[in-house]
Amino acid sequence: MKVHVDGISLDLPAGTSAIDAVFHAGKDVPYFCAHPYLSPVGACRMCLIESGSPRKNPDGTFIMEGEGDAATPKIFWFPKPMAACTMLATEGMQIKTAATSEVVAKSQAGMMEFTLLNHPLDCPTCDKGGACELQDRAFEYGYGASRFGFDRRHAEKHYPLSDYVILDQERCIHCKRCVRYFEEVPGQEVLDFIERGSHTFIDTAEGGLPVGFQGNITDICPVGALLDNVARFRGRNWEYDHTPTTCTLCPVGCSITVDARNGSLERIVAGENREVNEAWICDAGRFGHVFASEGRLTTPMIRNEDGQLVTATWDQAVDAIRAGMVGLDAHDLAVFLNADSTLEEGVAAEAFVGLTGLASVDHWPRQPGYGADAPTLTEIAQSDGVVVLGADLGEEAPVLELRILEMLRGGLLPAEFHHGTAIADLRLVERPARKREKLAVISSKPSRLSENAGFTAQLDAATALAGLTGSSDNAAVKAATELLNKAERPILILGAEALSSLSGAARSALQSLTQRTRTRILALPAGANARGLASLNLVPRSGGLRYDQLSQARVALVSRLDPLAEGQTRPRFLISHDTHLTATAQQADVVLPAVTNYEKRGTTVNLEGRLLPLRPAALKNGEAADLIRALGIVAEALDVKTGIRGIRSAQTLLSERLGVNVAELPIHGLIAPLGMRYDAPAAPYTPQLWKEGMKRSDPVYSAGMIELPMAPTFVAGDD
Amino acid sequence: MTIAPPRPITSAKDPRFAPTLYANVGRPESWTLQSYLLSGGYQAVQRAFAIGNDAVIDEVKKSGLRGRGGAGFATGLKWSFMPLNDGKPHLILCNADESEPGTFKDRYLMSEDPHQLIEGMIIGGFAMRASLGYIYIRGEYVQAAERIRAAIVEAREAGFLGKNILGSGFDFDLQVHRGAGAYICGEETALMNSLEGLRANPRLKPPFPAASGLYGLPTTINNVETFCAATQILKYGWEWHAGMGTEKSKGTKLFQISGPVARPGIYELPLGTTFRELIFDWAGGPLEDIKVIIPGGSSCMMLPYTEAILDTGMDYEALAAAGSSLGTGGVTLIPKADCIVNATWNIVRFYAHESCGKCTPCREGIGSWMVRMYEKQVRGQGQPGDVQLILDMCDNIGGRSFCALADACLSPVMSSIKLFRDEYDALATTGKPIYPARKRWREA
Repeated sequence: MKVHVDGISLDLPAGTSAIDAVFHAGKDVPYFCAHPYLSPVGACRMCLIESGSPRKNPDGTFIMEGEGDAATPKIFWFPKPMAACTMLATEGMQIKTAATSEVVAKSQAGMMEFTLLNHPLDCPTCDKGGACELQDRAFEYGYGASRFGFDRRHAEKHYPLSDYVILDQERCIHCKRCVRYFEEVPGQEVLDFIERGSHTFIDTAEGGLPVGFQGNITDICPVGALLDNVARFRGRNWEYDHTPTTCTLCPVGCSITVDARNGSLERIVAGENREVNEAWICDAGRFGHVFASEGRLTTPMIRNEDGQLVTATWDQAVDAIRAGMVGLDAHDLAVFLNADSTLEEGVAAEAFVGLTGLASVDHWPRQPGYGADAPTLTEIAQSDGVVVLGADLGEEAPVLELRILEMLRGGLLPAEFHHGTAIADLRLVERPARKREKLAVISSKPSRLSENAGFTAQLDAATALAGLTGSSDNAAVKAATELLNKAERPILILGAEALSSLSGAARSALQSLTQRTRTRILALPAGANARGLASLNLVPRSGGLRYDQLSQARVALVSRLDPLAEGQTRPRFLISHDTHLTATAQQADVVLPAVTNYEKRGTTVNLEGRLLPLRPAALKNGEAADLIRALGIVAEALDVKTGIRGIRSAQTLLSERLGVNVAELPIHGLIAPLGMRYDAPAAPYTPQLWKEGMKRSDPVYSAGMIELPMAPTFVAGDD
Repeated sequence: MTIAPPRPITSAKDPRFAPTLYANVGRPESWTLQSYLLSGGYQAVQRAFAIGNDAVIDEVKKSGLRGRGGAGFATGLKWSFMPLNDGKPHLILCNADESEPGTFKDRYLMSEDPHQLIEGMIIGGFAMRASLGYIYIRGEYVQAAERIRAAIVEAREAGFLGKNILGSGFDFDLQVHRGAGAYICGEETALMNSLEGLRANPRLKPPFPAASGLYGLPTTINNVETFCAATQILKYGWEWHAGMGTEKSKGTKLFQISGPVARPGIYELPLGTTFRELIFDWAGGPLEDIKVIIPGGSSCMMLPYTEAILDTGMDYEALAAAGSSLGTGGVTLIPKADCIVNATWNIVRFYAHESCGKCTPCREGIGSWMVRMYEKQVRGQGQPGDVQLILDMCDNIGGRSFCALADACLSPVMSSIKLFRDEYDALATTGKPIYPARKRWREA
């Protein structure tokens, strides 16, 4: 399909919208209401263009203009400028933007004047200032001054919709992105316009926003009407250091951008990764970063003569470890690391284990995996039958829930152009129909996803699994079996509950299920990088101790885990490598300060087996170091020399092993074979997304808002 | 030898003319089934069943009937857009959300002759293979809604609605839905949203209602008068209907006249009747000097009250040629002694109040700004340059809004400025209107 934008000829696929044609040509139109992952509505009327198309004669040929060879199809121009986001580009269409059409330039300037009519222009005190679409577009396309000589509309300002999102109705330009987001993506009808005409405002009917994915509206709001309350007034956009990295809260591995100011993590916004999280992240991943800037350990600590933990130098820590290890050797050491540790830390641990020959190595959380090639998230979104078994996705992998909901809407992934994801994909419609009959959710307790499922049952995973692979009286299990048998691209998702009850018989039954049907199985890893660490054999060797057997160890190095808070008892000598003075660190003999995953360079593996990069944000962390360094300290105390001394040597080793240059991984990641997955029995594990310290204890708005004193109450009686 | 075509009827004074749409209005108990049957009711639907659905659409096509809601789209063509054999239930909708200022014809059609509409909807439903029809009635029309509801019950009991109507094998039923008072609900897709229980915002087109309308099903929506006209076409035949009116505007139309005339009200006249006939012969002539004719509801361009305009026929083509439109046939006269800015403010205020808030030019341009520019003028606070600013705003709003509501507001604004620039300029520069505010003519 040939389309001409400002004289530039383009060859575009059918179904392209006019706005994407303009951007594909490298031209520009302003827009507020369109969003790549939401339905186009044509509400803001900013993306006006002049356009015209050739028409056909009844015999199918184009109506021509001119004589002989010079004849060209006659273009029939629309009499008025049209909104580009809601118009399909057609064969031979001519488009003029503001660059070549004075009518368009004037229309856009006029529309900008209307948009700004009731906007308070409080940019100096607005958190969006400097990153505001309205500000940028007003500068590029506006008149520069308004001819509106009346009072602006006054409405509710800085009004908390929830603990996390604050609404300023005066700043709202009614693009409806937030309303459409809730309706179309998580499928929650909570926000809407109220009143009409110039009184129209955004609000919820019942107060509050549903927990889970509400923070995304602060990303897509083109103005400062919906703001991240956790980051509110914490910095201006130009003061932040933006670090695009990967979230390691769960095994989905969403793209995020970490915004830090003066060494303090203030804000996390979603990054775009078409194949993983599209443009959405969960609330825990967005708002649960408070721990990274509060109460951090900045130096090593050792016990003094009185048994008190005191700050120390790294050399003193080495000496303390050496002293604690007298009479013990390396075999007595147990190494337990958090399952969100990077692959680089993993190879360092693997090398350390190989060198010392210790058997007690484990990562946590971990559970027995199921050895199958996982389907990708895109394949899940485009599947035609999903069964979720024994999983609470809201706690295990929230964004996977959104991709399953996308599957119910038909799995329409927007096309990709020179400028990125299609800005307006006209296949996406408002209030999309959901094919609930394509989803079955079976678990022992109801979850958020089960509200969207056509078939649900409350069954324990072992019974359900037996029913799914054998036969069952339960209607939902029968329907799920039917779904897996009939669908073209069926997917079975096994969560923590299902995996921890996976018997040998169940494994072989699942194997025969995948051979009998086209079912592909996604076994959700427990930790963010559990899939990657399992491929590095960081599981107990024969005779070694598991993480839950910590108390049986003589000496242990525990990295960013808090076993003592979970009721375990300490071994004789305990080395804690942690970001905070946790219960375990408080009882440790030596404490080594750790960096959070926001400050690491490294690689993580998500549930699809996709390698994703971590990049370090500049946070204030004193002398904190990653596990590679911590292991180096222990090795020094044990007088052994590992080949891996830092991130560079770890990445060199890792790159050789994977055949991928992990130091230059693209931000959207890369699917590469990880090799063998090592397995070992594990203790049962209950996933929980929000952990202690992630939330700010005092919501910020209460400090910034004035509360009027209550009027005195009169008590009838005495007089 | 060819037979000379009969002279078209373009005047209600023509002896061959007899009212049909309004024939029953004024009879005692005209809204009951008994009265309707006595006047020959429910014969049209029997004829429709006899000739079959495609023949009904063909008959309506040949009759030249055009939508009476204002846009004037060919009804038969619209009916033929409904998909055939697509396996989905089809719906038809009756737009009875009559909200255009100056328009009040449907109200009496529904409250005085509800069976005529019901019969028209059965015919339409039969032609378009629909199984259910909705009547979306304006919330303020309490009596009309009650009469329609009662009439539906009567019709159902008499076997005109329900399963296997009159032994034809055709199943059809009607539902009444009362609106909650929004002008935008007269826009077909906003009406559908409202009927579905959503916010009354217009939807994106395409998909057009015939492909995906109410609840995503193929839907056709027509005005009350259009369905009533379909009843008359099936009753008297297409030749009768096509014999009235001008070459491209066929049939009769309910014209409403309001303003300072002796007998304001509703008159059924053939299309092409002149303003002069309506105003002088039927409405009894103006009671004072007139300066403006609004030909078809407030969203039409104002026309000057001149001899030439008085001799213009009220049909789609002639009014388009005169720079306005037939609209709903709601003729409003504005007296010479009224300030045009004040009169236009009255209209602009209506549209500002009724803007749905979806798109920027209408919500901000009309709803926030235009109405206050007028208020400023009328309060005597205008400044030189204000009229030019209003015209520039019109340029920035016109054709750029999502639906036609904003353009509907601009018609009276632009036409009144074009016709009476002197009044605007005088008010803006001196703060005093040429025609000061006075008591309403009724009280004078």
